[in-house]
Amino acid sequence: MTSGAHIRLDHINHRYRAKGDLVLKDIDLEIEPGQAVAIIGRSGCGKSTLLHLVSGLMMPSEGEVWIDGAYVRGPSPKWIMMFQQPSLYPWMSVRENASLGLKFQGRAAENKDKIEHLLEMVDLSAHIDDNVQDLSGGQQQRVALARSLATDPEVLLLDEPFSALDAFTRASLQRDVRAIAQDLGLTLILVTHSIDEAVIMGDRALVMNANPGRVEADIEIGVNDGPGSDGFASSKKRLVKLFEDTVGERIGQSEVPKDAPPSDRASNAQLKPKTPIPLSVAQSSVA
Amino acid sequence: MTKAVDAATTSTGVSPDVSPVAPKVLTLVKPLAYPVLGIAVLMLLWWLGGYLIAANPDTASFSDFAPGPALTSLVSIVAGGEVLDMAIPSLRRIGGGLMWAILFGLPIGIAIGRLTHVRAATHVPFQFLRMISPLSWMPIAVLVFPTWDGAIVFLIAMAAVWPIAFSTAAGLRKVDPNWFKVARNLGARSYQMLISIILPAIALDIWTGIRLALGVAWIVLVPAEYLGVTSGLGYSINDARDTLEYDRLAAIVVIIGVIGFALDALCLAMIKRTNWVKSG
Ligand SMILES: Nc1ncnc2c1ncn2[C@@H]1O[C@H](COP(=O)(O)OP(=O)(O)OP(=O)(O)O)[C@@H](O)[C@H]1O
Ligand SMILES: [Mg+2]
Repeated sequence: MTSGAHIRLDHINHRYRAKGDLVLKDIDLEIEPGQAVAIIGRSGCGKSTLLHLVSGLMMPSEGEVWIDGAYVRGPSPKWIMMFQQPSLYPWMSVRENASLGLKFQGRAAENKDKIEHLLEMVDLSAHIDDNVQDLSGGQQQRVALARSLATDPEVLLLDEPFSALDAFTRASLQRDVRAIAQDLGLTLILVTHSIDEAVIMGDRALVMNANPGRVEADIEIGVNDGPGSDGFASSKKRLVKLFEDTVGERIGQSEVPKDAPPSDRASNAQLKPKTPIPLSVAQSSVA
Repeated sequence: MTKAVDAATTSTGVSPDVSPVAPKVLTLVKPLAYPVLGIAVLMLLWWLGGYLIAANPDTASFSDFAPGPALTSLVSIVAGGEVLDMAIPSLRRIGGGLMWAILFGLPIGIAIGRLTHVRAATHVPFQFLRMISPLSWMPIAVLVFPTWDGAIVFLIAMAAVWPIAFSTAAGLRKVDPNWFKVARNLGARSYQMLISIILPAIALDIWTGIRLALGVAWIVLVPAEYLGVTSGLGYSINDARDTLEYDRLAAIVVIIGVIGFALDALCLAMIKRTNWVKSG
């Protein structure tokens, strides 16, 4: 099939309004084909903005994005963004949603088998002609995944794609997306608030800081066999330390804190223990 | 429902062929009960009005408004096919006016809903135009359009365009912005965005707008047909008044109501059909 693309970000500066604050500053980044990069950082540091710029859905105020040597001047089905919400079209069936990209290219009819194969790959064979409103959140996100893969993308850009899901569904999707991306050799950029997720899915992690948004640290994540393995625990430990050193605050859990002011954070953590049940086994070693 | 029927079958036991029928008939009749009651009350009020008019010597000459003479006249209008001669020109004008209203209202609504600049720039002028009674355009319409028919279609369009435009715009503003992002990402061209995403997403709002538009258009139609033309329901009412045929006048009023109700029901059916929200 396809394989991943090489991505290069060249001196990106971005502001949403002409005289507004700099949301991203001096982003220079190179991502190898097939690499899986996790981006972590506090809320508002510009992670989603960065993803939108790579996807071509937004153009940077300054600087350039290059994918496989081609200057990105707009969106393309070759680099696909996925969001926290599956954003399926509720008047369409599972199949119609998954084939939409091909339909836009006038290739839906000759690719019926391909869609069915993709839906099988994401465990939805039994639901091909169902309305998407009849599916669970996890199944809906799987339809979105099939829809994204249908146009043979080279890059998947995931903006917290699993954070609306329960822990078990999330764990299985993390595994599957990781496996599929590896199989197809896709380049993956994943924005996440979970350090566990970064370690499970990434080969490499970027830590971003805010005001202005910038990439502050960049490390390799060692190959690991997922939560419970030694490789996972040590990679996670390193990433947690790097995050704390970079962002300048301690995190007691594997979730990157969202907006809570420092004084609230401890009580917040007690009141709302985060959910990653199958993953928490490995968490005790940190903090 | 089936459960109730089953229960009835088993509990009565004695006459298994008959008992399931009774609840079935009931479930068929039940939804009709309230409308029938409502119509009965309406007829009663009509009859009462006719009675009072006939009883008062000052108004006795209008007594043909009462249900008896009016319904007799209605039967003859319908049976003689005259109803078509009256209704078809009116329906043609309504159709023409609505068509123009959709042709202008839909793109205007999409522009308002999608483009903040257009919304900001058009808000005041459109709200201003909307508040002008469509009938006040009449003198201008008569001057501008060479035929009476053209003027009437224009008046209907002026009345109908706003509900369609505003309902379309409101529908569009409720649409999940990610739907547009995903479609753009998947390579949708603008016409594909329109056909595959925008129109299905807001079909219900468009039909709601058309339904509202039809309501005002149907109201504007009758006075508009008092003008110049020599056909249509409005003309026929005016004509019946001039010839003092009050039974006929009342019958035409009934016809106007029935056709309006049917058109509204049609829109309601389209609204139900285009509603993609699955409940339950
Ligand atoms: N459409 C917009 N217009 C103006 N400012 C924006 C817009 N989108 C984002 N911003 C600003 O840009 C900054 C970065 O936002 P962005 O959404 O990229 O952050 P993020 O890292 O994805 O945050 P989160 O973790 O909460 O998703 C924020 O300060 C935000 O207020
Ligand atoms: Mg974000």
